[in-house]
Parts: sequence; C-alpha cells; structure tokens
Amino acid sequence: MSNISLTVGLKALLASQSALETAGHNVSNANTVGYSRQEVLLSSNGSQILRGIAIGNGVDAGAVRRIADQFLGARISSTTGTLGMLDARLQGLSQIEAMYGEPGDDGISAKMQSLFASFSSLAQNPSEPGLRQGVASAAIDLVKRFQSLSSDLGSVTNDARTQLFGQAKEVTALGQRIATLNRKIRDFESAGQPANDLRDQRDEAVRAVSAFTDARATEDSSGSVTVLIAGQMLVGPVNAYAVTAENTADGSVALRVAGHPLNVTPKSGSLAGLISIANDASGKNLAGIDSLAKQLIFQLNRAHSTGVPSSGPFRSLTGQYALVDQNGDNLVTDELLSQAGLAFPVSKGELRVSVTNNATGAIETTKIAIDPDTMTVGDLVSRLDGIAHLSAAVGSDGKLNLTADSGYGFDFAQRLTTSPDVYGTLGGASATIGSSREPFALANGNTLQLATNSGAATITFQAGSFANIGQATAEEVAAAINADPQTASIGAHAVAVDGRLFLQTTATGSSATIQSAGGTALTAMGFSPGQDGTGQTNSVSPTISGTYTGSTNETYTFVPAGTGTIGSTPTLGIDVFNSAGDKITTLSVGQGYTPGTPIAFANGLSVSFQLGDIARDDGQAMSLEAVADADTSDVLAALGVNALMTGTTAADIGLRGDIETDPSRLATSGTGAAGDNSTARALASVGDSPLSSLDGLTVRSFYASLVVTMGSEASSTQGTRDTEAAVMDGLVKRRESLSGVNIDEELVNFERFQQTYQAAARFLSVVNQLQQDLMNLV
Amino acid sequence: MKPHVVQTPQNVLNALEALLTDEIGGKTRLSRELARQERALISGTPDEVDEATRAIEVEVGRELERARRRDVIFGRLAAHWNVAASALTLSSIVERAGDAGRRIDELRGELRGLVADVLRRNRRVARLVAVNNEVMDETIAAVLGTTKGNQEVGVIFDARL
Repeated sequence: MSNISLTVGLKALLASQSALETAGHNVSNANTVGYSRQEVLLSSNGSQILRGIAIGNGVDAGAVRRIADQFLGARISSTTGTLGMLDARLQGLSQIEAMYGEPGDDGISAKMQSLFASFSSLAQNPSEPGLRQGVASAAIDLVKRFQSLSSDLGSVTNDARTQLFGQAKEVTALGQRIATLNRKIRDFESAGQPANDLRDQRDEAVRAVSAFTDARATEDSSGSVTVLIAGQMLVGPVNAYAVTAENTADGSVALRVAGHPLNVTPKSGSLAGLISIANDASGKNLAGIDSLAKQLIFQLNRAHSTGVPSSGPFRSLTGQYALVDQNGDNLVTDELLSQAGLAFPVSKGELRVSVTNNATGAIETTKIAIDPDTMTVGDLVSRLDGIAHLSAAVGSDGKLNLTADSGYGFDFAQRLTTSPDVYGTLGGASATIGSSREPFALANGNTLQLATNSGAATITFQAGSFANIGQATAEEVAAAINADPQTASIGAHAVAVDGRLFLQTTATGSSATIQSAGGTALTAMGFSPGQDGTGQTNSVSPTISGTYTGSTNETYTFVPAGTGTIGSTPTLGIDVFNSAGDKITTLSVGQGYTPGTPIAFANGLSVSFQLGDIARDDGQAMSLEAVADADTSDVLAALGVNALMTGTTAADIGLRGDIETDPSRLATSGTGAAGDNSTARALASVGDSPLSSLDGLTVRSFYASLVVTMGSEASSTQGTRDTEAAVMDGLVKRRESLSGVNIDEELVNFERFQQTYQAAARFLSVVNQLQQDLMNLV
Repeated sequence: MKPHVVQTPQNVLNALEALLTDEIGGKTRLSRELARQERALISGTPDEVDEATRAIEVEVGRELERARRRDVIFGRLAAHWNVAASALTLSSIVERAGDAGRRIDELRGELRGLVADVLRRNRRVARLVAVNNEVMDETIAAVLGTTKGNQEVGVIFDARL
C-alpha cells in the first residue's frame, strides 16, 4: 500500500467539487437562523458526537483535529464504562474463584475424595474402629468446607451490595454537581461570555458518571446538559434526581432513580458489574453448591438408612427431618407423604422392616407398600406401629420415632431368607397342589371341590370376601378357603406365595393326599380337574446361600421341570424364573446331583436341595425375594431415619451428632450379617453414581462443572477486560497524537489509516477461520 | 532414478510429525506478528501495522500450504486404516497409532495451546482494528459532511479550504 495511491486518491477527493461544496455548505449553515444547537456530548452506544465548535469568520485549522478528538472522546467514555463494568465483575468473579480454592487440598473436590476414600477403606475392614473414626473426620472436614464456602459466597453478595449502595450515592452527588454547573454556565453565558472552564468541569463530571453507568448527555440551546442513565433522567434542565440501591422482595438488589417507577438497568459501568455479581454470579454459585450439598446428603442417607451398625439392630431411632402441617389443623398425620413438607422426595416403592428377637435370633420381616400420593403420614405410622414388637409415633417436633420392645431390635437391612420355602410348596412334606398366578377371574357363587385323605369339601366363593371377585388375589382366595370351616375339617389349608395359591394338607408323609376334585372355580384358578399331590416323609427344604450382588430387587421362582426324586431321577431339573417371567437357568438336581450341594443360579446366590420328591404337574413352586434395596421408596432418607448426614443446604449440612461422638454407630453392613460391608461399599460408590437430579452427572462431575464454569467465566471476563484495556490504550494514544497541521494532511492520514485497518481486518478474518479449522482437527 | 519410498504407516507418521513441527513454528511466528500488530495499533503507527499485516499474509500463505500437506498425509493414513479421511483428527490418529503416536500426541498438545493463543490474540487485534476503523469512518464522514448516526446533531465547523 504505497502513499502514491493515497495521494492520487486524495487529490481526486479534493478536486471533487461536491466535497468542497459540502464543506462550504456546512460553514454557511452555521449562521442560519433557527439552526438547532442541540448537540450530543457523550453517548455510551458510541454514536457520533460533536461539541459546539465556535463559529468564526476565519478558518479553524484545527477543526478536523477537534472533530476527531470528539469521536475519540466518545469512544474513550464508552470504553471507560465497559472497563468499569468488567473490572467490577472481574473483582467479584475472582473473589468467587478464589473461594472455591480449586485445585487444592482445601477444596470441596479433595474433601469429597477423602470422604469416599475413607468409605472404601472402611469397606475393606468394617470392624476396624480407627477406620470408622477416619470416616467421621473426613465427613466433618467436608461439612466445614461446605459451610465456609456457603458463607463466603454470601459475603461476596453482601460486598457487592455494599459497594452498590455507596456508588449510588456517588452518582447522586455527581448529578447534583452537574445540575449546579448547568446553572452557573447558563448565568455566565447569558452575560455573553463563554464558560469554558465550567464546561470542562461539567464534561469531567459527566465522564465520571459514565464510569459508573451508561450515560447519555445532551446539551440544549440554553447551554444546560440533560443526563440520562440507562434511559432514566439523572439530571434534567433544572433539577438532579437521587439514585438509590434497594433490596427487593426476591432477594436481589435494584437501582432506582427518584420519581421513576421502573428499576434502572445499567448495561455498562461499575454499577452494571456489581449488579451482575450481587444478583447473578454469586447467587448462581450458591445455588449450585446448595444443590450439590442437598444431593450429597440425600444419596449418602439413602445408602446409610438401610444399613446396620456393628452393634446390630436398633432399639430406637428418631428421624432428622420434621414433617410439617400443611393445612393448618396442627396435625401432620393427615398430610400425604408427598405433601408433608419434606425436603427430599418419597417415591412409590416398598419398605422392608425386620424385627429381631434378641434372645432367639428369630427375624420377622414385614414389607410395607408406599405410595406418597395416596398414603398419609398417619397411614405410614399405623403400618409401622402395627409391626409386632415395634412402636411408631410422630413426636411433638414433627419427627418420626421408632422404638422396639424390650428384648427386640429392628433394622431395614437387605436380609436374605436362607429358607424361603416356609410352607413347603416345593417338594414339601405336606401334600401340595399349586395354582396359576393371580389374578383369578372368579364370579360370585363359584365353587371349589377339595378332597384330602381325610374327606371332601366344597368351598363357595362370595363376592363380599373380595375387593373385586373378578380380579381375585391369591391372598384373598386363600383367606376365603381358610375361613370356611370345612377346610380345616378335612385337614387342609391354603397359602398364598408370590401370587400363587397352594392347597396343602396339614398332615405330612406319604399317606397325605390332596386333590382339586372339581368346581366352577377350577379353571379360573388354573387347577386341572383331578390335579393331586401326595405328601412325603422328607421334604426337599431348599436352602439359599451367598450374598446377593444384583443392583435391583428381584424375585426368583423355582418350578420343577419334571417329576422325580432329588439326586436320583435322571435329567430331573428345576427351572428358575426372574420377576419378568424369563427362565434364567435350569438346575440339574437329578441323577449325579448330591443332595445338599449348593448350585449357583444368579447374582452371587446359590441354592441346595435335600433328598425328596418334586412334581411338576402338582403345580409346585417356590419364590425367593432377593433384596438389593430394602427401601425403594426412600422414605427413610426423606424422614432422616438412620441418616448419616443432616441438613439440606451447604449452610446447614452436618454429620449426625451421635455418629460424630460415637463412630461405632456408623452402619456398614447391608444384610445385618457380621463382616458384611455392602453399606460401606454403597457409601463409597455415591460419588460415582449418575443422578437424574443433577442432570445425569455424578456429585463429583457436577461439582467439577461448577468449578469449570466459574473459572471459564472469570477467564473469559479477564480476556475481554484485557482487550478493552488495549482498546483504551490505543484510543488515548491516538487522541494524543492527532497533529492537526492542516486539513489535507489529516485527511491523508485518516484515509491511510482506513485502508491499513481494512487490509489488516481482511487477513485477521482469514487467520481466524484457519485457526478454527485447525482447532477442530487437533 | 529416485528410489521409490514405500509409504508405510511409520513413514507417514514421520511426515505428520514433521508437519506438526512446522505448524508449531508457524503458529509461534504468527503469534509474534499479531503481538507486533497489536502494539502498532495501540501506538497508532500505521507503517508498523502494514508491516505486520504483510508478515501475517506470508504466514497465511504458509499455513495454506501446510493444510495441503496435511490433507495428503491424512488421506494416506485414512487409506491405510480404511476410514474416511474426514473422520480423522490428531486425537484419533494418536489413538490408532498406539506407541508410534506418542511423539505426535506431545506435539498435538503443544499445538493446541498455540492455536488457542493465536485465536485469543487474533480476536483482540480484530477488536482494536474494528474500533479504530469506526473512529476513522466517523471522522471522515463528519469532515465530508456525510454525518452518521443521530441526524439531529448539526455539523458545525469552519474548514480552511
């Protein structure tokens, strides 16, 4: 780009009559009567500005310089506002970033890592007291870090608010100064003298306002300047208006100008930066930390609540979270579980409660179905209180209390039933026949003819005995059969197991027989006419061993694949089905199988059978419930029963007090068996489990995303700030270097600058595209 | 007669290493010229801006040449691995190459940092150019009387003709 081409271009330009005429027109218009002297002094959106330039008869050699100076001045003011906003924002973001302390040993990431590592160590050796203390210490460390971060983030908000309140007062003072200077300038100039010094002072005051907020100043014909901030009047033709910062009902902070109904929303200046920190950045981070704390508390409590400490089942437990009366009747028991003021959700599912007789070791497990949308607090309490040797009540503080009778203990463990065939429905000693699965499409008056070695009976089913006789359950049918005195009189009884009905003799041995002789209910229940069973001396007595390793609760059904004697009949087998009804394996229990030998069938479980007979056609079957989660409703975690953590936010998160003082209360066993570490392992895996409540992220990765977002915001703001500072530098230097020798030279310079910049811009665009392409390949 | 060099995967990977080394050199030079241009824009020395623009123009030319070499290398690797060339990235090449890709992985990391740096500088310089250009446009328009923006503002000045 040589100067020759520019000079040629300039000469052509100067030779252009239109250019000369334009310049001349502007000069002549200066004296036109009625010509408006409304001029914009400053504008934050960078629109062009001009200041009144003295009109004279001579030629002003520095005219072009003054024009360029005003444009540069407007840009400098605008950039001042942008820098002010960025500096204020950056200060807040830097503070927040420093508070996270990441990466570092004091950050939440390191503290969470220590906690999960301590759970892992405890899982290796659950009986080691030192490792339990290690868990408690790590939990307290993490709790303290959450609390301090929450407090620190709050202080950033308070800091920003304090500065906002102070700067609002400064802007008010500047407005009053501008109004005072307006009056003085009017008075001075009405006497016919230019008030250059006062105007300079006023310009300075307006520039000072633009550092705080986006300001637009317009001079009227009287020489007074009106100043608008973010579109609202700070200084009018006569008066100035106060600017105040106020706390709003939603907890945010807003700026107001006196006499205006709407908030001021600055887009630049330090006020804009402070508002973004007070209302947005620190609040967003605090909300993120609170979400993290809440989910961590809930997930750890979900894992811990079904665990059993080394001391075994509990004598009493009290929930951590209070139920809240919602309808104003001072009762919580009438509230639905879904609307009882709990911070954590209760889901539809099941809760298993086991009560242990401490003297005999006998365990009774009760399953409670929970639907939070239909079950009230009172319903739940009644069901719990109805369990033998357990009392349940809601205390005056709204918390659930559970207490076992003296000599008993309770827990919510994932207990494995080692002898699931309680009624001997698979190769038992009693004569047994089994039905198909419920529901049974019975009708009022349907009959079932039973015959045993002791006699015969005809049972008639009445609709009143069923909730819906057309969808009769196995339990209802069994109850109806057992309620009929004929049943007992012929030495029979009915049991319901896993949705099937089994008819059995009370007598055992090979002389015991039972038959479904006929009746109109036969087909509906899946019995064949004449289906019969015979008792035996030895029952097969299936025994379960191992530890269930499945991740969800499962029901396995064992059904004879043939008829014969365990360990004797060739190719005798027993099919195993899962909850979905899929056959998962066939156990070879015929010739070649040694009775009593465990056979693995699924997920860490094995089954063994004793010598005895099984028969397919009798409808024999056995069900086993394998429990991975004894509380699929999460009602324990929601109520804080057997919780590990307390609180619901980063500010109030805590370790349960009695565990803090006595870490032996920490639950590590999931099954209640000595040496079992499944609860400790579950606690250790909380950090790596994706959660739908955290958008599918784990607690670790959710926290990492908070830190990265924060860091990225701070870094991006710093980068923008540095660019704007470079722009400011350039503008100031440009302004200082304006020569103003003559109009020819200035125009040549400007034209040259323009072409230089345009050429540079073209290559910068190409460079940008090439780097983007390369970045995609790297 | 020139001996025919069999293009084994290792040969091609060697060529890729050489290319990446050249690329790193190019980015370093480009970053330096952008920094020079930035200083010139701030200090308002158009000659310096012009010189930097010419140097950047040279680097752009070299970069386009390296892009052509890259296409050839990627094409050969894609043929060897029976994949589409457009599916390849340096990351995927490193993964497929295994141990042989270790050095490429190191160079990739270094290059990534340099490209990010060039992008940042480029954006900053572009902003400086844009602001300065706008000021020039407005000034020239005002001098010639073709005012932009607020038409209520009067253009009042005396010009020596």
